[in-house]
Amino acid sequence: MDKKLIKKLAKASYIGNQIDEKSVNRIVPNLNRKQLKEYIKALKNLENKFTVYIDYSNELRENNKKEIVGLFPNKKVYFKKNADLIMGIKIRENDIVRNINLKNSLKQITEYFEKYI
Amino acid sequence: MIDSQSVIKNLENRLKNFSQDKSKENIGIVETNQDGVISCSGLSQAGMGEIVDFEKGGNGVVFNLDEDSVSIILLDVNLTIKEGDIVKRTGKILSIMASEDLLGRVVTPLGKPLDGKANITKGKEMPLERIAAGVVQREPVNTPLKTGVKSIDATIPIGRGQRELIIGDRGLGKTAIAIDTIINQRLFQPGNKENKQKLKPVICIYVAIGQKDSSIAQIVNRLKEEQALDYTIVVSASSSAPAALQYLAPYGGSAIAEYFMEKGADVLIVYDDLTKHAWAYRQISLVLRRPAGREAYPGDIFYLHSRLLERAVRLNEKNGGGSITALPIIETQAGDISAYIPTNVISITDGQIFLEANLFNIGIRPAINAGNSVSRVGGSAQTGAIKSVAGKMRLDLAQYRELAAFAQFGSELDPATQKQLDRGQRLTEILKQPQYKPFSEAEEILSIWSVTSGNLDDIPANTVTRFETEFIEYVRTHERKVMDELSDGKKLDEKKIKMLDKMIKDFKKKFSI
Ligand SMILES: Nc1ncnc2c1ncn2[C@@H]1O[C@H](COP(=O)(O)OP(=O)(O)OP(=O)(O)O)[C@@H](O)[C@H]1O
Ligand SMILES: [Mg+2]
Repeated sequence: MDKKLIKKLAKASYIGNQIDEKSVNRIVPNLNRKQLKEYIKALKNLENKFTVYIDYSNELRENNKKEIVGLFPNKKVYFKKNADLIMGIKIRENDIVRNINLKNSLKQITEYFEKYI
Repeated sequence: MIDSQSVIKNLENRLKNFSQDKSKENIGIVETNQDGVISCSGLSQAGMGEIVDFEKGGNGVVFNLDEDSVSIILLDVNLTIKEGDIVKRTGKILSIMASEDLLGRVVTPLGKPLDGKANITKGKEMPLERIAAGVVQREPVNTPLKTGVKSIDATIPIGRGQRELIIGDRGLGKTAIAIDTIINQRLFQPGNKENKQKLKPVICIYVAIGQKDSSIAQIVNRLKEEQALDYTIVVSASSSAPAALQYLAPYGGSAIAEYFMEKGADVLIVYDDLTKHAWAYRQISLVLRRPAGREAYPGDIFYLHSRLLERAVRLNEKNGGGSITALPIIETQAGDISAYIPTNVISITDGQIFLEANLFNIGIRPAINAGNSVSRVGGSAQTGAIKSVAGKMRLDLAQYRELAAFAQFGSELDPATQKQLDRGQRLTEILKQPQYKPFSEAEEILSIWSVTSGNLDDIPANTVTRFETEFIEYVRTHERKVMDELSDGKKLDEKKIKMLDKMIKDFKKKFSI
């Protein structure tokens, strides 16, 4: 069984953005150790694709949260408090990170000064 | 004078950099770190050859793009990168900050100083990889690049914009020829009165790839002693540098060369040496698990060198008239020029200077094998003056080589044959030249002419070298005017030859054998 097939299996183990335990249980006994490793990796990849992580500095209001969730249809959204950001939020969607926070702005300003002045 | 428009443009650039949307980042997560190759997931927007930053510090360059992973090669020795570390895209491709500030400096292929002096912060970002100038922008080679090495300038002339390979086994003086050529460019720097032909100054770039740090330091010191460092830039990736940097070194040098060429300058670039460059690339390819071909080199090894050497070019007046002359160096094993990398580079370049161990060992230095060395385009750049003595010399040498093979049988030789053999012997002697002693064109003409004119036939072969030194010294001190006249690049006419004849006869009376 090659990588491509395993990826296909991983895709088939999902219903919408939810993992389907029944299919997983049916697939796993047929895999050897190496294939299982590959399968887990593929599942993790998919899981990443279906998930958005939001870090925030100050408690968000419920309607704000709802608004944010609405921005990502078909995805699972997880919230986490992170005081490091000083102010604002950070959104991680698979391999894209958006920094809309004071910490990042300050970092950019420092970088600019280091480089040009 | 500072151009106010360029100042404004510069400021605008800064503004653009500042307001760029830096809130969005593309990241990846390190999965494995094997043999300096880092494989990461994510980074789905990264491009080939892009620089990526590690959050822990240090950076790398993207070398392979797979469906759901990318391979990164480290640009600095950073052993602490582990699984789970975060990598960020920078959106920048490899480039080097090029400016006049680089002159006299020793830098890495990415422009970081190695000589303990200040960072280079001002200048123009030049990309390491660039498509070479097209056909319409080019012009045939028509100006000489004087090496100051008699046998090269006479028989294997190099023109500005040419690519001439220096090839030979270890320790036969390949680097010596390149360094002498750099030193000789002293003659053409602004303000030198001996530059009678008004040749443009040449900016020199010496790219050291995979060499010992001690050898590089020696070369830099030598250049400094000879006042050659002021117009030279040394780009160095020594054997202790990561393979990726060694691989990038010639491209870094080329990028700097292009900066000066675009300003209309003539540039000389030495790649010392491309054998080690090919090794570095082979190492990278093997750890990336690219399929290996002949001698375990990857399939695109030819392209590696062809795209590099194609960037040596002579631009036409419309495009500024600058040029890049390349002197790549290749090391052979046991004189085998038919091995993979040597044949590749021979076929790319416009000729080669072939150094031979036999010659080196019997004291003929530079150990240039005239039979296997050629210059395919440089002839049209030779001045009339040197052409007029070199033609005769080439003929004499060719006859000598043919006869020398026969003479080995020890049979009786008729006087005419003996004479030709004697002449050849003296020519071989006069073409010997010590290191770091480049000759001006006038000096080259004086030495070669003194033999081809037959004036040295009655001087014992083993005193020819001494005769040469003393004769040139004599002309320098007593016949300054003749020296000047010989420097003008014009063909030797009757009048000049008569004058030379008289002068050498006068000198011979004073010369004690
Ligand atoms: N024209 C010359 N006259 C006398 N000695 C020379 C001459 N050219 C080179 N040498 C000597 O030969 C030795 C080897 O020279 P060089 O380092 O230039 O060779 P190389 O081919 O570059 O060697 P490597 O393969 O190690 O890079 C040096 O000791 C140098 O001094
Ligand atoms: Mg060398």
